[in-house]
Amino acid sequence: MTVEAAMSASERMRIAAVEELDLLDTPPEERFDRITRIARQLFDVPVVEINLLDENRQFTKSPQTPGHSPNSPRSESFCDITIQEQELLVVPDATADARFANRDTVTGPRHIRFYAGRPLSIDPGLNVGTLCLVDTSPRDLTDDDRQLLDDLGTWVERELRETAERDRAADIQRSLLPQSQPGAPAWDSAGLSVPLHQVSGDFYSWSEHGTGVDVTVADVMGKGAGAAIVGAGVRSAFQARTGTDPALAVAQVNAQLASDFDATETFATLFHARLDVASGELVYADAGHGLTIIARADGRVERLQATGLPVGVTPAGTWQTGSTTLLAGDVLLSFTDGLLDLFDGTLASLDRLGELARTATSVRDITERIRALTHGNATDDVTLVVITRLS
Amino acid sequence: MKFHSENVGDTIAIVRGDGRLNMVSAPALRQVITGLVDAGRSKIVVDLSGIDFMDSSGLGSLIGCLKTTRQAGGDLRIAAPTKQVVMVLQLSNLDRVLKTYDTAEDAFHDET
Repeated sequence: MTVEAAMSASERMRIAAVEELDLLDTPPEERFDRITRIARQLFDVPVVEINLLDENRQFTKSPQTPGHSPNSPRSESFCDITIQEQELLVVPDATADARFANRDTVTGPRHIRFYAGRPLSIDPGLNVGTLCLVDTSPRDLTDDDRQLLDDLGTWVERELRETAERDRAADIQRSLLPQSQPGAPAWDSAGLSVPLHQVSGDFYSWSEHGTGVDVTVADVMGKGAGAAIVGAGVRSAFQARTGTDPALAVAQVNAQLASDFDATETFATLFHARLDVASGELVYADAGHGLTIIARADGRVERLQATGLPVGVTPAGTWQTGSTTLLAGDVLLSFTDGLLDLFDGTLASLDRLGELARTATSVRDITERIRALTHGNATDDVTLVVITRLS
Repeated sequence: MKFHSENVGDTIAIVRGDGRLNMVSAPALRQVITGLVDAGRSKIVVDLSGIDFMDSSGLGSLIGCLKTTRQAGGDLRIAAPTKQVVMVLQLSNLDRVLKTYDTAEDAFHDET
């Protein structure tokens, strides 16, 4: 391998790391603006920037000035040099430094004289950008200043890493959602789970065993990563009981997780059912959830009531069994309470949801219309499962 | 949000608050009630008349407090829930566990 090819391979990895941050072309964020604001005060310089560099351009994540493009050519930037270093780059007077003296940013209206750049990386060796200080007159940095800039750089990296970790967690949660189409072509099903934050305390799942399909929709108290951790435990506890009578499965899961619910001071509401795709018979247990409706082919909307308490409230809980039959044209919708808030927050929302189900062209049309409602309106995690019998 | 408590007799306390009982305010309710139980008041009435919205975290704090009071030999009862709170209690079936009274004064009427 030639030296040039080796360099371009590492540059390709570096560019991939920048893109994986998902921060290019994103609007200002207070968590980054706070850092550049503080640094401007601390170092008494007119400009402090957090920049990300992809193949050809430099994107200024913070600060972003209305009316000014956050993009500039990488070839003219100082940070282009900084990201090739593993340490702080300090340029006391750019006119006296051959690497920079002829760049537009020095000879042109930006009139850069002093520059100090701290390379930023999440994975060692892959510098995605910089935290940099800029002044229009020459100056230098003391050892204390250098330490301070390095500390602030660590702070920016922590923010970058948090974004990356949350994105990975969201990817993992999405990848755990079911992909199969049970009972096709006589049945059609679709699901939707929109976290309020990156990850959700809600989940839905379905799995097949013979002509039976186990369906679960659950909402763990709270939001975000904490609820998601408890939710993952609930999900796998049910998975281990595929084919078990629904009311018994709920009681067993409740008993298994009692100490976890106690320790975390949480509980979960859930709907757990077994659907026989041959007969249309639906046998279910509802743990304090109460948010499942059937929009019948003839226009009626039936609500399936809770058949017991939420799981996690009492270790020795038992649940009643409910049952009904889905006929051709019936649509079952099971969802979490975040969906009510997309309408008027009351149980009148159920009729509106039934109406939406009747006028929709498919189960996916229903989930997409609900997804559209969540944009900018959601105040909680929103999860919905739609199952219809086509024939 | 701040919760205030008012002592009734030797073992009862009424807890009141205004606004939303959610992930943000639930720990404050938990703290107030835990403090009362530690101080020997294990019969707690939570007056919900000023709570116009409660989410699952709010509900969770009531359940947590119910466990705490019962472990101390007492009970937790709720009074005057508003419309949205009643809906949340009914949906979750927890209206069967959290006894509801019209007013805070009624809640432990049988014991004063």
